[in-house]
Amino acid sequence: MATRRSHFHQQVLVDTTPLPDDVPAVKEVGASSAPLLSASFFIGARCRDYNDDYMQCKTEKAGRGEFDCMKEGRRVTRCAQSVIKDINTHCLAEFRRHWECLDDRNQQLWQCRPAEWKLNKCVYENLKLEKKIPDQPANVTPVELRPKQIFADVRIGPGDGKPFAPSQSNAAKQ
Amino acid sequence: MSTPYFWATPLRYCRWAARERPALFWSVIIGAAGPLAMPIVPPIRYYFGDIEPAPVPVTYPVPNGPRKQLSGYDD
Repeated sequence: MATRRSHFHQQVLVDTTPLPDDVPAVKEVGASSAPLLSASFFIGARCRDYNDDYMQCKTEKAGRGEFDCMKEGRRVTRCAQSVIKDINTHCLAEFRRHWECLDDRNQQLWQCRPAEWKLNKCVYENLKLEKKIPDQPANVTPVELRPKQIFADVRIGPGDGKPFAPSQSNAAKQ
Repeated sequence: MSTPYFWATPLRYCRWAARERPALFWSVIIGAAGPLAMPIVPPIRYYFGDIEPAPVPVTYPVPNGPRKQLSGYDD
């Protein structure tokens, strides 16, 4: 029998080297990889400035960024937390459907486009956050809006809904 | 008529090989088409309006310039 107490297993994680008290505590985001991937573009849409600021801070203070940019780092964590919290409040069903699909499908975004479109619609209507992949070429449909995903295992049928793009939906109404 | 040599009469050799050695002949043609297409095809694609997508960033694209003064999500 080991006389030591366990510090890390499925139920318990004891931080053996906690931060000093003068550093304000911030909780973890508390999401595993699939929910984070599902929410990533919305986190990027809301927290772009904070993430940029953190990386600029770390670039400016090369080598000491981990110490000097903790305030910016806490902002990044809190901002991501706020996005996850808002999505959970307003779009929980769509969010769960999408990230569980990602979890089941090897986190390949192209396997879960119908769920993603529904999530994007809900998030845009409730939080005004838009999924936008930067630097896509102008002459083709953006990859997340294609009704035919060539690598997907399951074909997108007519009952799976339409691709959601805020600008397109505005144009369709006019 | 004897078998023509490639270096002596290339065109005549090709005409002969296309009929008598089609597998070898077309293998060389198809195999050479790929490397030849590399400098030829992209300008034609761009002419017809195709655009190369921007390369996917391999690290965080840190913006240049001064840092913004941010508020919100503070301690």
